Amino acid sequence: MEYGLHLLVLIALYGALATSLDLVAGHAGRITLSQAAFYGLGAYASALLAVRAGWPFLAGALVGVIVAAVLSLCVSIPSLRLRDDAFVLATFAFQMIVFSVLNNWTELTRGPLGIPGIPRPRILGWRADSTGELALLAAGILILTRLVVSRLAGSPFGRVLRALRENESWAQALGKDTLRCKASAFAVSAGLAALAGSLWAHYVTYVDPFGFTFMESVLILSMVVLGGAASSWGPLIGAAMLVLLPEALRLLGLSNAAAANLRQIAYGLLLVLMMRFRPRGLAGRYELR
Amino acid sequence: MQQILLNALISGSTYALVGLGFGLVLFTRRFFHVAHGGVISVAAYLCWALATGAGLPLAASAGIAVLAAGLLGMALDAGVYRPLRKKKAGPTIFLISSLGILVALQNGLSLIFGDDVLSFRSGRIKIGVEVFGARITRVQITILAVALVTWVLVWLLLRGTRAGRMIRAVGSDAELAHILGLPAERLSLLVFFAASSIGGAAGILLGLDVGLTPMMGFQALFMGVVVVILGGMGNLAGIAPAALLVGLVREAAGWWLPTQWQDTSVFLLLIVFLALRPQGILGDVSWKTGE
Repeated sequence: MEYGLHLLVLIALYGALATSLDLVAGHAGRITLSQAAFYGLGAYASALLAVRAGWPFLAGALVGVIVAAVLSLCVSIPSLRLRDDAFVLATFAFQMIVFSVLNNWTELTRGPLGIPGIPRPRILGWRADSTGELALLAAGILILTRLVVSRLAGSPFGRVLRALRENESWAQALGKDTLRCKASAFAVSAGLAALAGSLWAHYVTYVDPFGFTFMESVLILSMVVLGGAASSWGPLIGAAMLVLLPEALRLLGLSNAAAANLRQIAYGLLLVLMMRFRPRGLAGRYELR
Repeated sequence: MQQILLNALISGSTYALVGLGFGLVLFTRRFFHVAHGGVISVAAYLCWALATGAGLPLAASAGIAVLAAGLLGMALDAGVYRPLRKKKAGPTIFLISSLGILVALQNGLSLIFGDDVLSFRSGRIKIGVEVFGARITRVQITILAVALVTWVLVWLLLRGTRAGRMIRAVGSDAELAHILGLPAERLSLLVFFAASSIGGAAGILLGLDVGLTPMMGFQALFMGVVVVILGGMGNLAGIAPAALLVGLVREAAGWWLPTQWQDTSVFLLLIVFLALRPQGILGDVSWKTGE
């Protein structure tokens, strides 16, 4: 039961992460390779504030969200001015920089040793202690993320995103400030990822840089690709499948390291197969190009 | 000081080799073949397995591994990329597919060989020779030599031969080249063979110099990507000065800052270039992937 709840927490958080990425990758049609970096920034901001300064969960999470959103602008604004591949590369570089900083700025982050002892989240006096309560919180974050993304997607802003995804010159000709829209979408996406990261930190009570690597970004992207982009349920479906896949592999009774490798190989091949045979994903509204 | 310059030259040569392979595919086929990192690692491990596992002489192992890398690259083009080209897939699909291959290859190596650092060394650690007041090992001299020779060969291939001209034509405008009757698919295979062989050589040299890990290709690839962008999109020649610049920045950072910030300095250099001079050192601003 406990383990089942743990899986629910994972599915909820990864669902939130995938949904947040979908705003940029699906609706705006620009894939990024940095979702894990923002996720990590939220986690570390929360961890540091909680452990070093005793800040409560929501306050730390808010700081994480703001930091992520602001940093996202530093990445998006210079690179979106150029062209799409510059943006992808910039997010890639940003991902590598964030990991490098988390891993090497030992005075602040304790580097590879990580930050232990993060307290369970407290919201207005209520402490979420049991896995069940944390699953509720995670579900709450998932619902909030889905709400934000779906409201934005359904709004005129969302329509502009999809317009610039299909043909940016036309959108610009219609007078839309496409740079601002893309940068805004990216900032929202970053903030939501950071929020999920904050809960992760308080859930696991320990963070280290290795949970926020480039491969983690690829994993989150895979969830969007598998489940389907620019759709309400796609990212969540993708998240659920990719969280549960390792569990299925576990039943084969392999060693931990071998299972981890096989899981990754499966992800990789899945990406290749999806791109070849079903770029729309399982439930996507947008076919990746 | 001389040691910094020499180290910069050596690491720059490695980046230049990796960048050359990656850039060949990028400029002619117009997408980010990140799986190249996987090919680099595979070549290194194959050479290691042949040399230390099967006991073959190093030169033979390296030769076989380079050839195998070339073949692997061709197989990827024929098996994965060509079907995507037929479907008129865009750059995003190519990138994601390539990522998938990279992840699969890397983890395949990790599964077979484990994650510990492997080494070619069987004897004592060699101190190296002194040159102009700095130290250099035999492997490092080989790196410089191989880089130089490879560059000259590629230059001759692209500028001097008919195949090279055709490759440049395809890179410039693939559709027009196809209409004019150039054998685009065969040229594609040739490009991948050349690029992957070069990558394989880079991987083997890296393995000899610092050892092997499953992530080595990916890490090398990142430097290669930086070097290609800094050098200028659409222009292979820019890779050489860019590689030297990156080598210098990295070594200087290692000298003045705590060494763990070396890679971060390079990434920051990339962002600075993207912001201020996106076309790179010798590049063309109008160059685009995909379309």
